[in-house]
Amino acid sequence: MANESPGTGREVFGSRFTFVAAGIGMAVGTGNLWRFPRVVGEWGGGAFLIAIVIANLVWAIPLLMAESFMGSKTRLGTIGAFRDIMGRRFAWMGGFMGFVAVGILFYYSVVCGWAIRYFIYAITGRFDGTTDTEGLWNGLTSTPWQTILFHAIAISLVGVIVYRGLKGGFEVILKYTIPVLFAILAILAVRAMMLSGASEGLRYLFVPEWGLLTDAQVWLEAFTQMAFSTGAGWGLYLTLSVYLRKREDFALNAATVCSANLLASLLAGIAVMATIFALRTPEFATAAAQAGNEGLAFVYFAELFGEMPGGTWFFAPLFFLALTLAGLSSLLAMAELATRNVQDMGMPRRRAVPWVVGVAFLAGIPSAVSLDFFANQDFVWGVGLLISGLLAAVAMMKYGVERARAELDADSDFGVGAWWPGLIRLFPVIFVALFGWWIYRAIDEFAPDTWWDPFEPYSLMTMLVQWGAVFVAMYALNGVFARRIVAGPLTPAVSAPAPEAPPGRRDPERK
Amino acid sequence: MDVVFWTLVFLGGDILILVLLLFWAVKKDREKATPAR
Repeated sequence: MANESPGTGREVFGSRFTFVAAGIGMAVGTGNLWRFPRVVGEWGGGAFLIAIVIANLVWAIPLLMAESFMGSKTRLGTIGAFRDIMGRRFAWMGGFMGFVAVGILFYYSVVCGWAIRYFIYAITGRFDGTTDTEGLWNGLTSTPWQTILFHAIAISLVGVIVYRGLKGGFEVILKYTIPVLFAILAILAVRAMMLSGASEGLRYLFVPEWGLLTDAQVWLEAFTQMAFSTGAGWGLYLTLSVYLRKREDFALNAATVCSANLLASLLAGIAVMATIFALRTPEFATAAAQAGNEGLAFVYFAELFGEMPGGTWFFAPLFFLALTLAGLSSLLAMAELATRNVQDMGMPRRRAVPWVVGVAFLAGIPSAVSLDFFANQDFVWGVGLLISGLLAAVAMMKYGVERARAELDADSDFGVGAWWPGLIRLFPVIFVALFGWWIYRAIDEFAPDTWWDPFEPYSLMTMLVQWGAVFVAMYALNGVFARRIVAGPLTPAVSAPAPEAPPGRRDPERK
Repeated sequence: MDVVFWTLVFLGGDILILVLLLFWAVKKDREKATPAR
């Protein structure tokens, strides 16, 4: 009974550690290993880190707390949480948030497939200094059967874990893999720092260029990196919080997740950048940083393993294992989000998971065979996450931020004072600045001549069309969502199928 | 020297904060587990 939520009969995390480990697993993804090292040096090193810390404090932590509140109070996935927090007319918002995360799930499984493939390359000794890493990358991405096969392996692995549920599945897996992931990152970082010349990499990462703090773009880049990296506003932390123990802390847990996520980024940054600066020229490092996420990890960094002692057989497998674990732990949370919503509509987990895995596999195939399609999806749903974050903040305002603050404060280990309602109310302002900047870039920078073309991978119109389609679909389905989602602890009695839920309307996990 | 300093500030600072947060969490959990007298 200690592992079940009173009143719902639903499984709950066995300890705070396992919940926080799951939260860290959700937050730490491939972006920590291949995006953070690129952008931190490019945007001012320590100055960028200061901006990241502030972004965590004013955006990520308050939003994660809001998500945790919604998930733990409603004990339902994104759709049910919005229905019960905001009212039956707003279930579509949870559908939008859920679809954005699922849109990422589709192509992120392909990313995890690449990581698994590179791990296999590494343990078979391919990174011995003689391999043309650019040719290897181009060869993989132009061989559809390989990318589809490893995409299938990634989503199937995650499907098996999610199928087993919390206690027999993702809780036990994450309890061990997250400490292992941090141990690997620490080994890689220490090894990199011991290389002669590594200090230039550390300078690139940590020494502040103070003048850049007055550059608005540094702040926008920092907030973007933090929004993508922490998972705040994705609905994933909301989903994990469905399994939170009763009267569990909100504020301290959110702060711990963000702090650990930043630590993973810093360790990965040291491992990658200190190695590159130690073994190559600053020009090579600059080219690596500008090569994009995949270019940095799979082409430039992979090239260096053969040049360091133990690189081929020890450090290359470790790095790609870390990339795989980071990716799969985030993919796990995305698959659970989709499964939770399907389950909330009355389908048992044993049937919901095969559906989620099957749909994710099929919908991920276009990203597996076309890098242009992949880039488009990464762009559309990546920016779409900012909208999801806004919806979570709006939900808190509709519920009443002071009311929510009082309830958060009652269960939090450090005081949730006026700062939290203040930051939630400030959220739309930050959103307008950040979202507006991305819209501006889509028009002015990414596709200045074709921003109106929905088939252009980085155009404004491709975002508007895809978001619009999801909005229309979710809004049209609002009534279905509101009716079909099972009742939770906050569901008003009038909307529950009282006095006895008909067959199929009951939460299949309830005992 | 500045490299060592700023590395300690950011990396050391984050590790320190994380350790403190974890210790705080453990302390609070123990307090909650102790029955009120």
